[in-house]
Amino acid sequence: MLRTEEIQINIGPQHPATHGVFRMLVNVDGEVVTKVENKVGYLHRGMEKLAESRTYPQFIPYTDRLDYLAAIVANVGYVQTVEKLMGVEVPERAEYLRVIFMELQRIASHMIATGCASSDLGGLTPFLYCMRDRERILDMFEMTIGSRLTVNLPRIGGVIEPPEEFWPALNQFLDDMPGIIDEYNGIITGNEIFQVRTKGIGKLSKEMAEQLSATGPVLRASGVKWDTRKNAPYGIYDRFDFDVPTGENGDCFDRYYVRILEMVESAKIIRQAVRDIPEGPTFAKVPKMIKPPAGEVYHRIEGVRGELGFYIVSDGTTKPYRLRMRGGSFINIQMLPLVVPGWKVGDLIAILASLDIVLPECDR
Amino acid sequence: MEVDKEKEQREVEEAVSKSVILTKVEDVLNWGRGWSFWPVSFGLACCAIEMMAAGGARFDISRFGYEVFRPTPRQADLMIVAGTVTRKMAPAIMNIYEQMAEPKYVLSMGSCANSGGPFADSYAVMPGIDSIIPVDVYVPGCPPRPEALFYGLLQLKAKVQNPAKVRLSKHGK
Amino acid sequence: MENSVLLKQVEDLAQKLEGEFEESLGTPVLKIKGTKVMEALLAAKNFSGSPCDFLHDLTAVDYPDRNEIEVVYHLTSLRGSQMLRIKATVGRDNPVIDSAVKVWAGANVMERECYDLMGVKFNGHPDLKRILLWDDFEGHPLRKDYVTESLEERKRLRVMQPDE
Repeated sequence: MLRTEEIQINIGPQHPATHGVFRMLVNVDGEVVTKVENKVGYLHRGMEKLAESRTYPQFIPYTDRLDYLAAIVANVGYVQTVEKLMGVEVPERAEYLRVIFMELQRIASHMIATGCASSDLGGLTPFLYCMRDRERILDMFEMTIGSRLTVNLPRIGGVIEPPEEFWPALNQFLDDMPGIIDEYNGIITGNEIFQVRTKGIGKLSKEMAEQLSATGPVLRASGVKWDTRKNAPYGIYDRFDFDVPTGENGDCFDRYYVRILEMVESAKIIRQAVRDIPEGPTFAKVPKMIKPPAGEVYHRIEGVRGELGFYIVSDGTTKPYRLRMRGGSFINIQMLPLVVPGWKVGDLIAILASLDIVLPECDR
Repeated sequence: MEVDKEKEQREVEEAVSKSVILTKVEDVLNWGRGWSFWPVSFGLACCAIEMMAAGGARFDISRFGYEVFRPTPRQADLMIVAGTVTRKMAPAIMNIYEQMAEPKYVLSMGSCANSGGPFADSYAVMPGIDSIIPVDVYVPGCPPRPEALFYGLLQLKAKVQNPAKVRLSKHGK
Repeated sequence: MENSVLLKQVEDLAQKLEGEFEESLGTPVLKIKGTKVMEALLAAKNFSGSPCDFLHDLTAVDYPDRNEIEVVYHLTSLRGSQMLRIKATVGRDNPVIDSAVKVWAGANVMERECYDLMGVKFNGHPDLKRILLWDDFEGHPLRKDYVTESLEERKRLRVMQPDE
């Protein structure tokens, strides 16, 4: 009889297929994985401690760097938390503009997730298609605020008014969206190799997803119909009419396909917002020094990768006493040690790509 | 007859002067190195996304010859440090730098790698990579646009291909 | 957001566990001592009508002037839009509290982060060690009396451990 031995491989912090500096210690027996241990913390920058020495408006650029692929969503979450604590009412036009920017950012982030899901499995071409379409959205951000990636867009009390060229570019992009989605479905979803490598792999059951506090597309792909924008709405999301796509099996293919369907829903929301947006000011009257009253608040929003939660404890001064940010990716990676054992090393990469984590949300 | 021979000789001389260059071996090697850096794919944080966008179809990095991102440092000669360097990650960076073969170059991209950036007073961040590794070119920005990264790479090319000229004009020594 | 059923149940629970009940910006808040936290979490999970059975967040706040650390749990639910905040106080000199891993498996990484950055020890946690900082880091950074090291100290390269 041949004697086999288990060896331990370090899929280290510098690796082309991990999405950033993520490290895993993997025990393999031949090609089959027997144990996975996550090691995070290689991008821990101490944002929560830095918040105690920055004023409230000075902290908005740091929330960009919390999730750099979905910067506006994190920005708006933080700004809405401070506004809830202070009791500030944002004007209608600002609310609609915030919704438009957040959904555009969601589409841009899902494009990268789709491109990386394919390129991690070896198909490098769709990644270039996704980057090309994402550049159109980044052009729209640059028109408005001047920056492509870490935008720092909303302010406490409102949002900036986009210029005249923004609206024709947005309408042109919305008209091209069905064609873009068809292209992705043609290259990636219908691709036989992609389907064989993701269907049935890495199933996460409904009960286990709820026990692990998983949120976002990972939870929806396991069959739970929960979206904070619909079930516990914030801002003006209760005025829009959209579906919540869910998966049936909870495997890698479902987690990927839920994101494609979410892009279609986001385009629907943007069209409704463009149709209904009223005229008016975009900034409320806020005092020059932002000094919320003493107290605490917890606000949660539907981030792109999971739910983001912001907990602020204020003691009445211009700097927060304690600021806590709950990141969806940090809690979603707990499923790796439970789901991966039994699959092969190639499947481990497919499961990690379908989770779509971003490291600053894990490490803050 | 004498005139014909001389004309032939002059034509040969002209042909030789158009197709033969006389130079030093070191200059030829530097010319080759400058036109084809092979970066090791080493994105840490947000600047890595702009590096990926620079490799995309709109800001094409392969028109300069630098599109060959090698996953292993043993086959690479340029390390683009893109993103925040935390104190937990620093020994891993030294590990990778020591595995690269000479001659090797380092380009520090973004304000976090230059000097700590917005996180300079945090307890877990190393303020700048230049305290542990010698840096050749610094590219400022948060994140720098892909065009800014190209400008940094072209400055590095100038430094590699004309080392003496860069030393004199920039540092006056 | 009116949820009078939930508010009544939380108020009764507060009386039973000798805690305090208040409402902050629409969210019910239950303040108890750290020793009673397991009863509170299990009771909140099994509230009839509007159970709070999804652990959304677990964190801690340092109050050095009261000599206390508050461990804060945010509970929501996938069957409704309710939210409950439970604050359990432990002493600052020896912060020990029961672990919630048996109730929700997702509390694993959140408790490790609390231990790493704030120093709260959780009884019954299967693997309580540092997660975000390196293993021989000294101190707990999110405490109010932690002093960040100087620039020269942070520029120095640390020694790599054998298991990295």
